[in-house]
Amino acid sequence: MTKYNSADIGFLLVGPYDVKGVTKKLETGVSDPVQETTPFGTTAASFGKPGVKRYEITGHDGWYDDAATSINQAMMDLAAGENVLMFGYKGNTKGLTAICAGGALKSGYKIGEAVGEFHTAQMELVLSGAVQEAIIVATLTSRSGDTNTEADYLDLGAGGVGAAGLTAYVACSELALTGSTNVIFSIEDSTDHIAWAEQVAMTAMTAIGAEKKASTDQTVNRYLAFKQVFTGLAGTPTATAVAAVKVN
Amino acid sequence: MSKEGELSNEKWVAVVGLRFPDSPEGVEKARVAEKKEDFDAISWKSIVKGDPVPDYIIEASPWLVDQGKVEKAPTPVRPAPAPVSSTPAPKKNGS
Repeated sequence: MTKYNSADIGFLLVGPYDVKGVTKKLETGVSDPVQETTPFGTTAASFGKPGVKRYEITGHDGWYDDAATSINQAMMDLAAGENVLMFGYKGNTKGLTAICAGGALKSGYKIGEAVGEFHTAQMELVLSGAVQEAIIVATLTSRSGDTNTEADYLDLGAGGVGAAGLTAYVACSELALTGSTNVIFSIEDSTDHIAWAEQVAMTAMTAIGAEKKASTDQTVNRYLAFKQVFTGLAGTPTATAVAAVKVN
Repeated sequence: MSKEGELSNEKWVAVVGLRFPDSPEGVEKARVAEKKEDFDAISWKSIVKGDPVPDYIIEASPWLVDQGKVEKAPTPVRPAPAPVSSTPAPKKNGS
């Protein structure tokens, strides 16, 4: 068993915004509520589970920061709809699991001021849909040009493969197209690390803020890699992105 | 039935984007590669959906066929011969 602590946390991406550096507290959880089902004519209470789980990220606390990629911008500019959330609570390391969700909705934002203290910021998120523990295929780092992680692939092991597809999460915190048209991120897989096939390709991105969750129902092979390709490659484009998958 | 023999007689095209070594020699290097440096030393080729897939990749990675990542290339259709007309071409004006 490995214990982890706050120093291990690798990233906390809400949409494209990495708020790890301004966060000091957070709780993730899931509840599976029960409902009383005691009918007339019985002497002991009975309960049942309607079967609707609620995934939560609560109790966020941190510091106010007005940097263009930090929490204030996140809470002001985060898309009104569902956003990808990726939380590398064990670290920013290939093969570790990260908490991932595709339906993070901003529901509140508080800024606190007090004498003798740094201003604080608390974000409130509601998670629509499920939260998954996904395996990091590619760490959050800046990559230049058309590239991939085939030479540093993730090996799921013989027992890690699946016949029922996967769900992939990709978040991009910084993107410089330098004249390129867009960037397309994809997850590739292979049985032999000789030939690689696209398992799932994300919709082309022209700017941060279009983070993706995508699912497939195809066979998932043992070796996984992340690929980024710039359409109309021009200059020296870069993307800072992380990718994780949950095999079904 | 010899699957390899069968495969070698087919032409294949990609159904999804594929990457693979750009030569049979690269395939052998990829087969035994273990470190990042080993893979980096190989010259790779990327193709997109609809591009032809070389035979040596089909033979090295038959799972591409089994999993539907490639499909048989459509057989070229020979164009139909032009219809022969028994009616003489009309004369041009003034001729």
